[in-house]
Amino acid sequence: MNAPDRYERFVVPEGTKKVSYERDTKIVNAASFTIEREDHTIGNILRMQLHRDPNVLFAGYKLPHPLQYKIVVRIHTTSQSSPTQAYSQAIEDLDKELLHLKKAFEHSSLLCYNAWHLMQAQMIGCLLMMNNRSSNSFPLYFYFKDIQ
Amino acid sequence: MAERVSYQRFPKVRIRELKDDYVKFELRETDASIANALRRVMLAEVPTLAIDLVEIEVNSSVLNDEFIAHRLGLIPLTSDDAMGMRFSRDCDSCDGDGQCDYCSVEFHLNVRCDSDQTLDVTSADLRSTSPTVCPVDVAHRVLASADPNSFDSSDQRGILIVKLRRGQELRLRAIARKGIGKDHAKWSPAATVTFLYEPQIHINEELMETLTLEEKRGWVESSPTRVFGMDPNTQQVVVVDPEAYTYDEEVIKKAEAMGKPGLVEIYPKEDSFIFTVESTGAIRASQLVINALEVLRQKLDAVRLQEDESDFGELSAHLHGGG
Ligand SMILES: [Zn+2]
Repeated sequence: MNAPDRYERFVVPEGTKKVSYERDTKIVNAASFTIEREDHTIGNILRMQLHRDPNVLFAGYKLPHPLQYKIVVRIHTTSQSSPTQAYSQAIEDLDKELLHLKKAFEHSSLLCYNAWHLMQAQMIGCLLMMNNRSSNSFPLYFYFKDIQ
Repeated sequence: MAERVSYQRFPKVRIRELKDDYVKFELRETDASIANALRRVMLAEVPTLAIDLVEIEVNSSVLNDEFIAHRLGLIPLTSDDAMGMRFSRDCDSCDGDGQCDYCSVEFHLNVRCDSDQTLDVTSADLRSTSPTVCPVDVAHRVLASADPNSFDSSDQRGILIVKLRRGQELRLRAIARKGIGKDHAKWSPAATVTFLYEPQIHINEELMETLTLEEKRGWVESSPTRVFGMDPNTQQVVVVDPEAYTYDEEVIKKAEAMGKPGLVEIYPKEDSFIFTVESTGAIRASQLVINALEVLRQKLDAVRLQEDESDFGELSAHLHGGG
């Protein structure tokens, strides 16, 4: 009856910012980013990518409460960088990595898929030859037409 | 402020096995956070279509209306179009009642039993209004019957919804919508997604040679899965299947119990993962991986800082004596 809607877990309410950030009042180059409607999926990849940046002195994330659908990412950098710069760079690098991964996967799945089709085409060819000697001249390439 | 330097990685992929509903692949040169994010997105955030709204006209079956609506929701539908469709709540061309091609597909079901034999109402009785969206088992059978060298004689019945006796009838209209597993598991395109850290196994050959044949056999047998074996010719202990290792450490405990600590060293490679992905059939397994990567990129894009709060904002804050 008073159960919250399921979509509240992933739809950002109107008037709420997806990402907001607050700078630390005591430490320079430290800030907390609050990301609405995200969880460990984004939190952990962001944290691990930030760890690869030598200008990041600290990077961590927390899911404050399982029923509050937000995460808090805290970043502390050297004076050579800034939390916003490190944050944006981490997203940029992750995005490029995922794009690279997607292309790599598409490439090798296409190769696999074609190899499978090739095998099938050859099997069909063999069957035809076994069934009917005259089909030796059957244009095999017909079966290859859907291979890119 | 320093020049921006990229710390990007270039992961490697090798597909070991690829079927329509199954893929096994190696993912290398990245870390567990990426592997886990990929797994989590495949399970809960890659969109598919599933029946979400049911208007029952007649139901004189033994199952109540909501029971039938729930069962309809769980039938996997072919969802190749789902990535390009809209979520009903975001759709501005309709009010989400199913009269719209951008966000929904309508189904009809009209079955009545007029014989003394029990009538099975199945997914095959669902009439789709879209040429590309239908229950996956129906699509599978159509493809199998079109393929001349398919020896597939899997049973011709669809997914059972309800059984009817003489005089009972079921008539309804159902709306399938785009959704994600996070909302309801019926939208999850994944049956299982797992990854394992590739184990690196190093046998101390010198120490191993101090074991008698009997001891070697005992040690090999101590593993609950068949990771090690004996070479029949040389009587040497060899690694048969490293991926069978479940990180149970039984062989390490056994070596210690035998008074031979350090006989074997096994550690997980931090940057190599072996994925197993099984699809429900809603989308092909390879497409599931590709869609997951795309969804993850879209998620990342959504958490980018807006122009006014990125570097420029930071710089002006500094200029104005902030921080
Ligand atoms: Zn619509």
